Amino acid sequence: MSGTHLAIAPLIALFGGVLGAYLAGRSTRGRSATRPGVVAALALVLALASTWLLWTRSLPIEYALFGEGVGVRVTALSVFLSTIACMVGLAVTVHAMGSDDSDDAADLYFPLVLATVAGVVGIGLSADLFSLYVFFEVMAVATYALVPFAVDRATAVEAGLKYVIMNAAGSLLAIFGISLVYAHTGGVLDFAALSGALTATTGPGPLEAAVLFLVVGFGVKAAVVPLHTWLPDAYTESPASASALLAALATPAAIVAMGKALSVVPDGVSVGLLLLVLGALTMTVGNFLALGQRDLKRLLAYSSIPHVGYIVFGLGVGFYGGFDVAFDGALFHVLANAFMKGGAFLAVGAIGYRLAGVEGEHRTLDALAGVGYRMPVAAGAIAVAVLALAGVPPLAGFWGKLFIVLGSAEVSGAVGVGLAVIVVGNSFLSLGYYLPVLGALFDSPTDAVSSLDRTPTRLAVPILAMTAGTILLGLAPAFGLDLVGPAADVLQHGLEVTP
Amino acid sequence: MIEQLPTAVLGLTVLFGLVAVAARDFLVSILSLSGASVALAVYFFLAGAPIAAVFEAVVAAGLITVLFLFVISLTEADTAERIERGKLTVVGLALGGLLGVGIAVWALLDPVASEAATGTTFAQALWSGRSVDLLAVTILMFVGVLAVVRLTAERLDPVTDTTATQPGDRASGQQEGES
Repeated sequence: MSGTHLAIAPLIALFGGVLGAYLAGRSTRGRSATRPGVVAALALVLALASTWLLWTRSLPIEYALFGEGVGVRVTALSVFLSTIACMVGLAVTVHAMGSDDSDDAADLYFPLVLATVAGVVGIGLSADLFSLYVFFEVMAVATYALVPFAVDRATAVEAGLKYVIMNAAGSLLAIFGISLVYAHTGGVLDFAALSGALTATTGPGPLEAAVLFLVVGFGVKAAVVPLHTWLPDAYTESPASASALLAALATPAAIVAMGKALSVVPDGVSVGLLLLVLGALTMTVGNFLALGQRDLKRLLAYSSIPHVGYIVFGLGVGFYGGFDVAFDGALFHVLANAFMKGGAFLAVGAIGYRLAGVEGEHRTLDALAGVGYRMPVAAGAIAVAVLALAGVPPLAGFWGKLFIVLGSAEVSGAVGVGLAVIVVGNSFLSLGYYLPVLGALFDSPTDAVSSLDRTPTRLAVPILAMTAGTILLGLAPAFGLDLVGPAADVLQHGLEVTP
Repeated sequence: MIEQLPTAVLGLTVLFGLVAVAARDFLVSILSLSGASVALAVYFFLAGAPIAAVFEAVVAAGLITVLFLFVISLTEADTAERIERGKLTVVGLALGGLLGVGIAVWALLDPVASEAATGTTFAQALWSGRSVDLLAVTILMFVGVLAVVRLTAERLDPVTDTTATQPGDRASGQQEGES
């Protein structure tokens, strides 16, 4: 395979996997999850392998399926997103094969998971704003079905409806913003030429409106406060593996999509300031909303909001002052968040899987007291994840926050100190709801918990993989920075391609 | 005849629009609206605005139709039940057909190509510019149909599978590996 054909290989593997997993599911007697799951996992491994091969080539690579235009453009940002998407997708697929998340509809579940991953990979590969939007929608439409996947549960359908309606409205605002950019530049959408075209056009008026539409449009899917109200219900009511996919991949990918779209906006428009304010608001409001939650899955759902805030805040600092370290911090936190949230939601799913047959309420921290003694892998993974999410060194969540704080401190004077204090203060605030989780997991076991058996092996494997990622990324952040640094450069310096 | 095509396409747009408003059946309404969008996309292309045509075809005819089907599947039990009873194949075919017809008409009526072998010029214009988008939209439509299958079928007719693993078995961990 030539270098250029390789550029489209991750997408082709995933699109092929969508069809293959569906056909494998349809041809399986009794709707077993094994065969479609294996097809999905193979597609993800192929996509990951081709992403790695792309990483070894000289970037950027431009490629069109037919003709001479630019269909996709592989940059370090594409490799970054593709790597995260395939890893999270693989963990989610293995977990779903061992659990009952696919609910006897494996022929539908695995194609939807793969389509979500493909959408994220496509966001990274997109060469122009319209392609970015199309792939964003592929990701969104797949998750619209994953949230209410347990269709016989009214609360899941209600959460799905709220999710679809809010995000569909956001999508329409995003495409309106893109059409404003198109009108403003006289027909230029390609990222390679867009920055120059926007700088050359006079009058920021329509461009400022376009930026607002893009921020709000992508911001709904990214759950930026005050557009976050769909998130707690959607994460709580989704199957556990779908929650992991949403929290670890889809929501952060929406922020990266927003950052990629805004990276071409010239300095005259205050993108950085806008993201700074929204990021600070999101992390603070999100932390206060999570305080006092007693339902473990809902607590983790709420705690995703401040992490959206950290990433948006990091991008805001980066765009505001052009600080490399802030872009590094934002993208490092996207990577760390994938391991932390992925591991946490999959572990909660494993506990829920074991407790499904136990009578009574078993989602609150009180009901889960002592589960750490019966299911040490799942509870240990949650413990590592919440410590990392709180930013405790030397776990993965620490470094992203540190880089964002360092970036904030580069802003001159008291403002810089104030920005850094907001991030540090919010990290301490989050301990207010993370520490009770630790306390509950290793409290005296309740009667219901005492009879539980250990985490099933097929669920333990992806959970341990995510936990290992959280720990290793914390101990050796240089590995993560190898991936993050070049991707952050692409985001910071735009996507212009030197011929 | 070719000169009157823009008028004919506009007429078709209005006709589909009227059916979308007047139809009592939600499915007919949704598909008519999709048809109106495809016709409008063809008109945009004839009028020399190919990117606007792509926007209209992908966003309005493709995505919006899928979203309407989603919401109907989640809220309107009667319509969802009829989708579940066999109309889904028709819906999928109709969506694919609308997109296919739109693209075919578009291919044959490329105003830029005029007298030249129209197909070739169209192929250059469409495939070199938006090939990956078309691939993505095809997957999007497929995923949309899968999603509607899920959202309609089992909610309305929950199947009690007696051979499935009983919840109580999970807590015991029998016959499963453990960590």
